[in-house]
Amino acid sequence: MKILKSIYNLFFVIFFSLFINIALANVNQLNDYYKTIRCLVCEGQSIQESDTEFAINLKEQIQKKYDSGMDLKTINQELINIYGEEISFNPSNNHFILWFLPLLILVIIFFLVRNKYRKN
Amino acid sequence: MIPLLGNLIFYLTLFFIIIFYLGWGKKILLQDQILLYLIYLGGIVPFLLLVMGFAISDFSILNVIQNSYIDDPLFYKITSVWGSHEGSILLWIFLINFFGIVFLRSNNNLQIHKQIIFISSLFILYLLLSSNPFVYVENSSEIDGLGLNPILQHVLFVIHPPTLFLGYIGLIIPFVLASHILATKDFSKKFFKQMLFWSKISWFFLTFGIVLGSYWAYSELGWGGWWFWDPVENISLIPWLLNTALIHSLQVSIKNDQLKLWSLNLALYSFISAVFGTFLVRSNLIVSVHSFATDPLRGLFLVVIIGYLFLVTIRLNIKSIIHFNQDTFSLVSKESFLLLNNIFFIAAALTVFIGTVYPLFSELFFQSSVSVGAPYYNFAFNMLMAPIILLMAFAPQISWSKHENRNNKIWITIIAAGCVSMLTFFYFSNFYFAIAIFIAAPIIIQSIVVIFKKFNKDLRFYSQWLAHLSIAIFIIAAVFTEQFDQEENFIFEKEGKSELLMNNGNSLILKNIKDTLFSNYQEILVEVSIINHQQEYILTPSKNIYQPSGQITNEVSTINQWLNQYYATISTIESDRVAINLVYKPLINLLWISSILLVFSIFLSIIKRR
Repeated sequence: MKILKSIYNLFFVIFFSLFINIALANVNQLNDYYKTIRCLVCEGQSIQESDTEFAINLKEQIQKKYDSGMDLKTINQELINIYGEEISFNPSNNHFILWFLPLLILVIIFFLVRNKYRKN
Repeated sequence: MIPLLGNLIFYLTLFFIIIFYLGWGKKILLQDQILLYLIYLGGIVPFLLLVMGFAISDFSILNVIQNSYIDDPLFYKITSVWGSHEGSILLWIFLINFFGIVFLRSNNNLQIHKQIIFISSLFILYLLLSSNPFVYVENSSEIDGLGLNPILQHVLFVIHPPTLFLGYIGLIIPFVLASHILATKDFSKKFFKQMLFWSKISWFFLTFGIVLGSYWAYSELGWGGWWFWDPVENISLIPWLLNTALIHSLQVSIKNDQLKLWSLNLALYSFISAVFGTFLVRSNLIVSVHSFATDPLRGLFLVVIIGYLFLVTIRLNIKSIIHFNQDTFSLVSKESFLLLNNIFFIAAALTVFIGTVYPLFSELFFQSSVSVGAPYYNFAFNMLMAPIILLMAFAPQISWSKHENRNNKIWITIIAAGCVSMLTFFYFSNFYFAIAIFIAAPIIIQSIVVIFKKFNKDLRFYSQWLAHLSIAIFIIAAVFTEQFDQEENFIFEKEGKSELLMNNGNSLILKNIKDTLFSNYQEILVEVSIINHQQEYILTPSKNIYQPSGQITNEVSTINQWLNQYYATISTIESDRVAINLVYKPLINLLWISSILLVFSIFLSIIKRR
């Protein structure tokens, strides 16, 4: 019982620290950022992987803006304004349901199976 | 000749199926067993016919014209069979019947086979009505064929789709067994053991297929990654996750008669998820690299098949739910840990599923299109997997029904893992890698401890041991590769230097550009070499231009340095300059090795059955 409780606590700590980390983490490398931008003329590739004209041009544009001192958040917003939300592989906060669903599913399943455990 | 024969056999098979269902076998002097064999053969032979048609380039078949080129090597001619939608549905039917005929040897219960045949007949109808590969073309002697999509011309592609399909369709046996158990309420262990065996077979092929697909994407697509969270990858992952859960929960069902309804439902939904995945790809509802040219009818028909499978599942559940006792077990026991495993795996499967269909959903209901990609899955999926992997270290050591022995050294292991992960954090100063070490290290520590403690255990123990260990190694390798890969772009101008300096101080030298003509493609090959401590490593990335489509593919060139790899592709090539993309991928080979070990581990547990 005690062991299990500790394991749960541990999970909690891991979850929490990961959440914090992801919330704080900035995509500081341009290359990593390219991976989150969808190449709209390809089928499911990001512009980092694609070598179509669209991807190459977009990469050049982003590079220019980045070099001129714009931060990636503004660049991202600009891209979304131009191309629509499709451009980003990273769904925005408008889709918070999507982000909370995994946790919700977990809670629901736990709730469903809770009385499988013998109470003692 | 072949188109006629193929169609004829299918219609004949449908005829036999009707006779089988009406129970008229005796009337036409055929025993049910023989009728069954005939039906199964009827599903197997057409596929072989099409293979032959491709092998001899019989251009009286429309499918051969569309997917094969007269000068293709024989090898690729044959693999073109499953390069098209029609061919792969034919392969699907072939495999259903193949599994049926193999399963007939170990279990000849007519009720079970009736269901396999019914599912098979649905697919045959689907094939005949909407995607018939046996379409006859007149006056075709002048045609050379359009050729197989060049991306698919790769040795791995020969084995990847059939392997994955074997995995998907292997799930049909647990499906029919589970529905048989629920329908007859005969909960004998024999059935559950058979189910476990077949779900392991399917797991073997699924895992192998996914690994092959991943390796194919890595080495052929030239994108430089091994997992893209592409919708098609996702939908192959969902059955895998459910099947993994199934294998674990079946242990409980067999060992002490618990979680039975749970296991049966997992078996049912695993197969449904496999068919659903096929539906998503074939209906073109989601955009993916694996897209097929499609029409709406195909999607609609698959909806019918899924609907049928779903109805079976729901009906059986409603009818039989009262026959199950409440499962209860103590909080710290192997059962509860296996249940926890199941919960997380199912949640992960659902998360991947929701992420995959969410863009559709969003477009329908919010009128806003959205892309769900790697950033989302890396967050949500890893979040769900991390706890389960931490559990993996300890669960195998916990005893069944009630765990009494409290002095196993969980704490020591966790503290040790914590220390190691702290050290890695300070050494590499990378948070993600430290976390990966923290969740993977306990498994490795426990594995080493256990192997010394219990020396003469049976093969099953070793298969479980190896599976968990290879997952731990996989995680370390995967996170390391992703966190520490280095990508550099080198541009060689025609008049400029032919030697460029890399970030790590080595130099990259442009040696040669070759242009060669092969039977069905033209190859532009660039030879570059890396000079490292007086040693020369030669890389030869190329671009291939395929005939007759004119499609261009990127060919990757790699050099292994122990477990690490240099990965080079040509990003652009023009008359006056060449741009080479060079990625250093540390520990990538460990990732492949651990994947193969994982596949091998399940192989061990399959062969332990005599």
